[in-house]
Amino acid sequence: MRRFFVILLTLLVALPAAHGLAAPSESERDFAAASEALKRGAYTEAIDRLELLADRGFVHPDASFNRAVAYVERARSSAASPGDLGRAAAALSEVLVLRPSDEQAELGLSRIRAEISRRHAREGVAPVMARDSLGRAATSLFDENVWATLALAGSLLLTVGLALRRFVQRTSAGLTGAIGIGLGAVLLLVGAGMTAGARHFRLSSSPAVIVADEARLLDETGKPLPQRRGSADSTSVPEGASVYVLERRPTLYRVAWGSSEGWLNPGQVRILATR
Amino acid sequence: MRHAFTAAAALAVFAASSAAHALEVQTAVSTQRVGLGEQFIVQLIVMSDGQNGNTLADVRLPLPPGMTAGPPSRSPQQRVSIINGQMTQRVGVTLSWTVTANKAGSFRVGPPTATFGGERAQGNPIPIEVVAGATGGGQQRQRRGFDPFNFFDPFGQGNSLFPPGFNFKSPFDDDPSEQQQPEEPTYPDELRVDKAPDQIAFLRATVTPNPVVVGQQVTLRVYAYGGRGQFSAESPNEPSHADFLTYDSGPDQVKAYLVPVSGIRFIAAKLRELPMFPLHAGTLRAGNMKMGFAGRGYPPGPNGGALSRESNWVNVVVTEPPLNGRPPGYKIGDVGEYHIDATVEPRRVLAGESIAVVAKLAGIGNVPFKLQTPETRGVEWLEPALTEKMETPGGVVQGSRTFSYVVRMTEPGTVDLGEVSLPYYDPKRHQYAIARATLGQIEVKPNPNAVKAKLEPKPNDRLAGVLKARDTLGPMPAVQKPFSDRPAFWVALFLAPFGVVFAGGALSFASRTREKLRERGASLDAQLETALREARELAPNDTQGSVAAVERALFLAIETKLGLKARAILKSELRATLIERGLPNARAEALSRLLEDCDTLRFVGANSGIDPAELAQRAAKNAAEMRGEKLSNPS
Repeated sequence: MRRFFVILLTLLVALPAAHGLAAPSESERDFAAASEALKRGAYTEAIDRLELLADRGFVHPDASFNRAVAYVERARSSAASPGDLGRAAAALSEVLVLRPSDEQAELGLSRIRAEISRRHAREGVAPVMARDSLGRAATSLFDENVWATLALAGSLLLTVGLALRRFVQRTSAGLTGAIGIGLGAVLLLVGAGMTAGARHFRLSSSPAVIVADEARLLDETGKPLPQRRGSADSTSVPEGASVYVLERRPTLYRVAWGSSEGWLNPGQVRILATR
Repeated sequence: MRHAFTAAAALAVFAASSAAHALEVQTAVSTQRVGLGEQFIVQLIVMSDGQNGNTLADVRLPLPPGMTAGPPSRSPQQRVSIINGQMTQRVGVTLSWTVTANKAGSFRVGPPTATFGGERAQGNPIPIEVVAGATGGGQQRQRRGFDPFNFFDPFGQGNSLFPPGFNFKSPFDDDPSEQQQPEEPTYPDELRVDKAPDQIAFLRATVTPNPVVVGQQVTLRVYAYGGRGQFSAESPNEPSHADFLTYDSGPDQVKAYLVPVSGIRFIAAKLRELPMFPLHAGTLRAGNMKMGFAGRGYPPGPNGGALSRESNWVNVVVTEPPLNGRPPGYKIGDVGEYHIDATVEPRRVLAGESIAVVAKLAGIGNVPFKLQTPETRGVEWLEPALTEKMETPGGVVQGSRTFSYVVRMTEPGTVDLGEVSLPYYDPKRHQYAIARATLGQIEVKPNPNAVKAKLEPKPNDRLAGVLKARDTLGPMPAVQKPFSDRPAFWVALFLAPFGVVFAGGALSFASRTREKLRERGASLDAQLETALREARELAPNDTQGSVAAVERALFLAIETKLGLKARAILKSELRATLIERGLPNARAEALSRLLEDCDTLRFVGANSGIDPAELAQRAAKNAAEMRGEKLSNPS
């Protein structure tokens, strides 16, 4: 009887493991098929497969990377479609969201944006990169968890300082405590504020990239926003530009682009996948 | 006459103008053969992308001698289409001239011209043959009698909702040969209404099927019900359908029926039948058609015009087709039932030469605008030329789109072209399918001239080799959940410093409390309480101790009450002194007796018959009662 249970237990442990080793998942098979299509120059097929993979909710930086490759290669071919480079930029931005240390993706993204800027330079289109709002720029100086760690360190320092001041009667401890309180309070307030800010931006907006040739900012009713006099074009968002989607409606998305805000057609924006 | 007009309209001549390349211009005529004295309609349809506005000016229709026409009616047009997932919108105008032929012969009418959005639009000249006598092709100058549905005349006043090609037959036409009475009780089930929302007149909108997927056809139908007899429609507008792609369609023949609703006999008819295709997912609204009911039994509206009524809105629940089973390359909106036929010629070419591939996609639904073409090395597919033939027989949109590709064969050899295909979702079977046409092989012979073209540099080679595809999926980077999403983070952040502050405060509080307690312990009340407690506790075993405690308690009670240190007073004088200080006689007597009993018990002991416990109890009782007693005025 005992032997039977041992065998049963072994099977229960071993079978799923063996299955996992032997059979790649459906997503892995689709990825492999897309890679094979890329190799034989079937870029549209590769794009279709990788887009379907993304539609199914499969999120992986390498899948996004290959999607970018497929779009770039199609943009270079005679079958190029408008927005291919924007979609490639979106795919690489997605890679960097998922794997910030991917240098190849970073390099590729900068090259693609440079190419888009070069192509649009004659048309007087705004540069692809726009400055974020002050709050967003400040919170994005560091990763959200870095701010959180800073806040925790400030909290610890403040705690020690307070404890020294309160519980240790020696003069030197009192001085150390005072310094700890001052430094800790500053770190805590800055760190906690930035953490809260970064969290707010993370939860209230989604990073996205413009995938249309050029996207004109609209008002809530769908009419183009008027161009400000005497300023650079702040109502036409160029292909490949990073924006933040603040609100989604079936026919319009509210986006923030640099310090500008407006509405865009959903087809002009690609929201980046995150985990 | 309407039959004849319809037949003529079906022969309308449509031609695209080449003069105004930015505009889409069509010319139409209701008939090319009319009788003397009859009328015919000439239409100029101008569509543009609307970027230059929609101002209309300089409208002209040159007419030959023997023909006259009034000013044209103008009907704004709007068209939305989706190509490759991109929605485009076009606006325009339809100009309609009613031309009267007053002279027999062959004539050339037009070309009609207009300036739309600052651009000149010119239609095609139209040959017209005017014959003596009636042909049935034209319109008579005057209508015969009252027609409750005269608004359906597609060209009557130029403001019709409906395009040419419909035959709207009224049951109330006063032609004796054609006169019909409203049919009762056999009316179509779609006209059945359980309860009339309005006893005089109302419009009702329905949509079927519901729910649907993006790209699946739904049909919006609007019905008019008049409860006060015959009516004519005044200023009907187009139902709202902003989130849908629509095809013009209408009932072949508008028939009125008598429909009893809630005991009232309504004259009911289907006004509008509009095949629509939802453009995106969500709960989409359509309907809200407005119309005026004019007739003898219908009161005028508040503004003096016809009685105005509007239909309800209908909500269409639209979802995207399921992800499960979705084939690669499927485009949202490609819904229906399709098949592809393709021809390829020639089969033998030189490298660098092109072949023609003609693929005809046909089926039921909003036939897609793009096919998947195979990607093969050495084969370049150019953008196809597109022709289409879309119809709505029975209200079901169907037809075909023909894609004519020029395919350049760049490398020699036997090339398998593969297949053109279209993945689509079949809503009837609730599953995806792929329409395919195999293209076969092409024999490409070497061509020295083709090498030259191959060596030409590509214009966008700055991106060459920038990215290299990855063969396998690498390890997934570990995801660090943001600390701030954990409530423990915020608690820890502020709990530690606040904990120290709180602990310090608590310690201070405890210290102060202890101090207070200490002070309280030294007070007379506290001493009194202590003495009484000791008296009670010592009574069973230590009579002397208990007596001493009782005495101490009594003196403390007196001091607390009167501020008098009674121990310094002789016991024989104590009673008088207490009375003198304002204590009631009885209380002074009781206290004196208690002190005497204490002496007795101390010196005589148990033989005195005094119980120490009872003594302690009496002392406590007196101390408590004395605390609340009022003092008389001390003398």
